[in-house]
Amino acid sequence: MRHTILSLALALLSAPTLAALDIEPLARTCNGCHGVGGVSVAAPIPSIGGLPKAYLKRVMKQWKYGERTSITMDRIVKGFSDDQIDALAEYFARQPWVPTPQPAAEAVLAKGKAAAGDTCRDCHGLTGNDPDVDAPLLNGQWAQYLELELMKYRSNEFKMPHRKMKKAARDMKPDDVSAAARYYGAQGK
Amino acid sequence: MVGSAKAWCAILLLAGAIFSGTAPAAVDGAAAAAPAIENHRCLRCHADQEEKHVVRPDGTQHNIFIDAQKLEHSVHGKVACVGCHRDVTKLPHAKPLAGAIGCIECHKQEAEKLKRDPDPQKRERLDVVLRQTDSYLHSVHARPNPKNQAAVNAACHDCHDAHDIGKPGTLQRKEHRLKNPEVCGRCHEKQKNDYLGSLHGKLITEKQDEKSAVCADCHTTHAISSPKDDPAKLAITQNCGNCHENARKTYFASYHGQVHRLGYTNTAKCFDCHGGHDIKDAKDPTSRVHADNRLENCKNCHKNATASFLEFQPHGDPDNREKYPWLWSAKRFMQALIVGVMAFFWLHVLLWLFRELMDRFQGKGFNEDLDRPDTVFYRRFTPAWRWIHFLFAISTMALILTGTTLLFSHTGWAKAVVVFLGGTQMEGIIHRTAAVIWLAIFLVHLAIAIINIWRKRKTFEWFGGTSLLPNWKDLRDLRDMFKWFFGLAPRPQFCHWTYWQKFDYWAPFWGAAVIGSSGIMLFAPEKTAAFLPGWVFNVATLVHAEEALLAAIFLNSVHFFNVHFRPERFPMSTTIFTGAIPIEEFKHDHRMEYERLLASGELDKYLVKRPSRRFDLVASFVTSVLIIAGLTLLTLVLIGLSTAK
Repeated sequence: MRHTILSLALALLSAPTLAALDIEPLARTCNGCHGVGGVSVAAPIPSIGGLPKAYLKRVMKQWKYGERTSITMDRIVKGFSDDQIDALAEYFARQPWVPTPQPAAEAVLAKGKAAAGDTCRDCHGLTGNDPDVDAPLLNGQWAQYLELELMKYRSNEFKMPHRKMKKAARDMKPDDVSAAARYYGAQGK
Repeated sequence: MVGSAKAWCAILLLAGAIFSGTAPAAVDGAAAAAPAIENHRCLRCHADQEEKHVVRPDGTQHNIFIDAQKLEHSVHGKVACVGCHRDVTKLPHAKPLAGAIGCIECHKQEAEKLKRDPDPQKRERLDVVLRQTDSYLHSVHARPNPKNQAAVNAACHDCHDAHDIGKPGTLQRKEHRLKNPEVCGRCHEKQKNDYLGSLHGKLITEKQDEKSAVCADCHTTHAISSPKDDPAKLAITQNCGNCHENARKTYFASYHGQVHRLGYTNTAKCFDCHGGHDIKDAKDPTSRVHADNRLENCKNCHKNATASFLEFQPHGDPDNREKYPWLWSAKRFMQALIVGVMAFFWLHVLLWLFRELMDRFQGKGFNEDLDRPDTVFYRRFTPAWRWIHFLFAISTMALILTGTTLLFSHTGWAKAVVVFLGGTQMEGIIHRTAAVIWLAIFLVHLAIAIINIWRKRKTFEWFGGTSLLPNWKDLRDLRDMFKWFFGLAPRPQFCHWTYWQKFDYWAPFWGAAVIGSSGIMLFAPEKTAAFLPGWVFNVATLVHAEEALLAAIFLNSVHFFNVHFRPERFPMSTTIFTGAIPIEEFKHDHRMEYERLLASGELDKYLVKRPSRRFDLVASFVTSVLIIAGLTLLTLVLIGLSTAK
């Protein structure tokens, strides 16, 4: 009897630790593309460590349930349960956001700042480090990735469910898309 | 180096802006010229037709939609969003917003700015807003909420959609009015449901009739107090009358309304009979004023009300001949009586004054030598009559004061008097006590008079010189007085009683009949209604008041002149209190009686010594007090009459 009680107590006490330990190996599988701690080192792949939990959760579920187009991510997340997605979102949201500022020509930065000021800043902040509650940080995000994402929003061929984002991206001039992406990519902390 | 120069320029510009009071980052008032965040940026999300609601992290859904077109046309159309939402200093902003919106502070600041503006029209609406704000701050809505004392019961934005406040006369304004029950109903749900089933509510919801009463019309928009308190009850009745003007007029003319207008609510008010939120048409069988339900209504106050109460017209209008012929006739009769009596006697007074003054200028007429006053007096009144007159005068004045306070409840003096007396209930007690004394004295006097006549029945001449019954000589005296007024004949000589004294004597008989009988009916309405129809209360209220007015004006002007103010007597006669009249004055005023007594040898029986100095002083004091009281009452009555609407 005493052994049963001790075993139960141990099991209860170790339950949270077990859960945390459970998501670590799964999260480590993301490192291959998104970098250690979600800090990407590849221009077409976004950094995800430190992004808002709600954003991460939403995007992964949209991929899983076919609401959002992706080349690879939809196939990957389909292998995760909703609980695992939630846990992954929570895990990466806990990581610090590490910007990767990328240099750009001053003219491009000025053009990009103007475009960001017109279109992006009300949700993402002017330097991308002060976004709305469920919007991703953009400062020091990879510019190439940002541009690709904006292109997807502007295209009719991709399912991109964020209505406001779609409208904002489509309202931008083609030149501004690239400039805005480079401007945010150039921002540091 | 270049960067450093730019930084210095920026610092200098910022410093200059701060010292000139126009810091670019600061939002100086709601109408700042260049807000830190332009409205179109806010409206990008908030005017999004396709995403009117947001779900907050706690799972609650919130409507964040603002109709951009309505905002543009509202009085705040040119105001920056961040001028009111001052905690929004950047976008994206915190959700939910942390800070409260200071409508009052902003309006005050704007008013302060416009104080120096030469165009007063710019302030006109703002002044209205400030007045309403002041009312709000004293209202029940501005008090701490019992469930959360950090919040008020209702703040500005609970009732006003600040993004949709129309200018007067606009469609927005009309829409806001029609939405009023809905807005109030967010907190006052039961009242809203009652209202929506009411006559007023149906006109609003079914016919969009903006003229129908909404919550604010009765409860006021901002000076809202608890409906259990007197100020709310008084305001609501007044406000009903803003639309139902004639009903208010007739109500205020009734006893219920008079008490109410004095500022007391222990009487039937509009909503006591008609209902409040659930008010219905009188033809509706569920209406509280429907013929089948009205008696129950009356019984709320008049426990023993009989079916006759149904014939009482709470809004009886004496000027409406078609609907209330009895009341109309009673008013016409009483007014003719008042105008006739007063016109005749005021003319009598003026002519008399004229003649006596003319006689004085010509060195004629009776002029008492005050340096050598009479030492011999004629005993005109026994102590019993003197006491009767004294008590009669006191009770009459008490009746006039307490009665006219109700009758002229619209005046400031009436409101002050009723407070001084201790309220309407105390006033009623005083009035009824005085009435009982008045009537008792009248009956005692009648008994004494009958006994006296019975004792002298063998010799009493019913139409003789000592009788108070009117006779042909009175008519001749009246004719001759007018001749004297115009200098066409000498002053007539009178017996024991002159015709004006007989009028003064007989008038209370008529008064006792009219005021007494109507007063008793009103005193005991339930008993009266057991054998009389309800409409007699309407007539009784009217004639009681009109007859009392006649008495008040007559006694305090004509009677005072005849007895005290005519030059021969001025400033007063104390005979009614001393009982004695100087012999010379008696000879002048009652020459025929004097000669009759002299011839019969009875005069000596009535001759008395001059009243003692102390007695004379007491009589003068009492007479003075009563005269001053009477003149004060006359003034109050005339103020009431001249300001009546």
